[in-house]
Amino acid sequence: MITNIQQAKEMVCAAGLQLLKEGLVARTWGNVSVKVSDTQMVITPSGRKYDDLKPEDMVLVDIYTLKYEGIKPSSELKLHCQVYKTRPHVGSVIHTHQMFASIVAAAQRDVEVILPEHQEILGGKIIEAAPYALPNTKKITVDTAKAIGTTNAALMSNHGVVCIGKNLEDAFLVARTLEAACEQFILSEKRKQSA
Amino acid sequence: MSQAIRQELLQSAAYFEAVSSGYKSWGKVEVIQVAIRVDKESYICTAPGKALADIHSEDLQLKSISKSDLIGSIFANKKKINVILITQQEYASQVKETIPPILDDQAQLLGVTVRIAQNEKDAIRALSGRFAAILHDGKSVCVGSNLEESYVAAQLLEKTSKAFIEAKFLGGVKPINKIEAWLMQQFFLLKYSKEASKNR
Repeated sequence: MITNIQQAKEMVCAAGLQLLKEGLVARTWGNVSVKVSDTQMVITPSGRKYDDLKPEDMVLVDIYTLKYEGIKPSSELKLHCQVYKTRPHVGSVIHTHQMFASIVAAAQRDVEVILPEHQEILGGKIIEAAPYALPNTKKITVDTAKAIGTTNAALMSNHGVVCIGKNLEDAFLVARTLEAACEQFILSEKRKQSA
Repeated sequence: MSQAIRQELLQSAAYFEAVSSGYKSWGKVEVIQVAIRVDKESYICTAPGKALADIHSEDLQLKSISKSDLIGSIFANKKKINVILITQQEYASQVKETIPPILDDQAQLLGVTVRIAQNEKDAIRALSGRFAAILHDGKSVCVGSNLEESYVAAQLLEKTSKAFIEAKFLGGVKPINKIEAWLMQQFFLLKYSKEASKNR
C-alpha cells in the first residue's frame, strides 16, 4: 500500500493517462484509485479529461464517510469504497470501458475464462457480469462488489468493468488480461456457432 | 473567424491521427469529410472525395446553410451543432438495423438509439436527439459542438456498432430500458459534460 499521499496522487494521475493510451477508456470515462491507508483512498476527479489532469487534481477520499478534500471525486467513488471495504487486501481499483469486455457486458454474459494463465491472474474460471443498474446507484455498487466475489474483476452489464489488484500495476494487469480473456471467449463462442 | 476555421480544417487530419491511438481496439474510423459552421448562414467544408490528409486551402469550400444538401440541412436543423463529420467505419457500415441502447456511454453521448437513415433526406429524422446516425450508403454522420466532440461520437459509434455485431455470437445484446437511457443522456448533457470546465 502506498502511504505517501503526494506519491499516490502522482501515480493515479499517470495511471489515468495510461488508461487512455492503452485504449481502456476514452475521454472522461472510467476512473482509478489507490488506497493510501485503511480508511483513505486517492481517486481521479469527476468529469475531467485525463490529459488535462495534474497530480494536485486527484482527490483524497475517506472510504467510510465518503468525505473528500478538494474538487469533486469520480462519481463511481462508492464502488471503489465498497471494494476496499469488502476486500481489505486490495490496494488499487480501476474502472474501464474497454472494448472486448464491453461486448460481453452488452450481452449481459459472464466471461468463461479459457486459458489457465488468464484464470490465475483473474482469480477464477468465471468472471461474473453484475446485473444492469444506473451508474452511481446503491444497486450498481452492491451488485458489482458482489459479482467480484473472490476474483479480481467483474463486468458491469451494459457499462464496463471493474478490476482490482494489490497495487496499480496489478490492477492494470488484470484489466489487460480480462480484455484478452473476453476476446478469447468471444472467439470461442463464434467457433461453436460455426462448427 | 473564417481564417481560423480554415486552419482547423487543414489541420484536422493531423488531429484525428494524433488522438486515434486511444481507440485502437474500437474498429477503423476514416473521416472522409469535415464541415465547420462559420455562423448562422454559412459553413466551410473539405472537398468530398479527397483524402483529408491531402486537403489544401483551395480544396476548402465556403457554402451557404440551406436545406438543399445533407450538411446544410443538418446545420439548419441543429443550431448547437458546429462540426459535422462524414465517416466510413468498419463496423458501423455493417449495421443494417436500429441499434438499441446497449452501453451506458452510447446512451449518454450518442443518444438513446442509433438510427439508420433510409435516404439523404431521412438523415435529419435519424439524427433527431442523436449525435450520430448511419446513412443508407454505409457511411455515417457524426456531429458535435466542436471537432473533438464529433470525433468522439464517431469513435463511440464504432465501438457501439462493434459491440452490437459481435454480441450476436453471445446470444445477442440485452438492451437498457429506453427511459433509463434517455435519463442518462439528459444527465450527461445537462450536468456531467459540464464538469470538465466546472470541476476545478
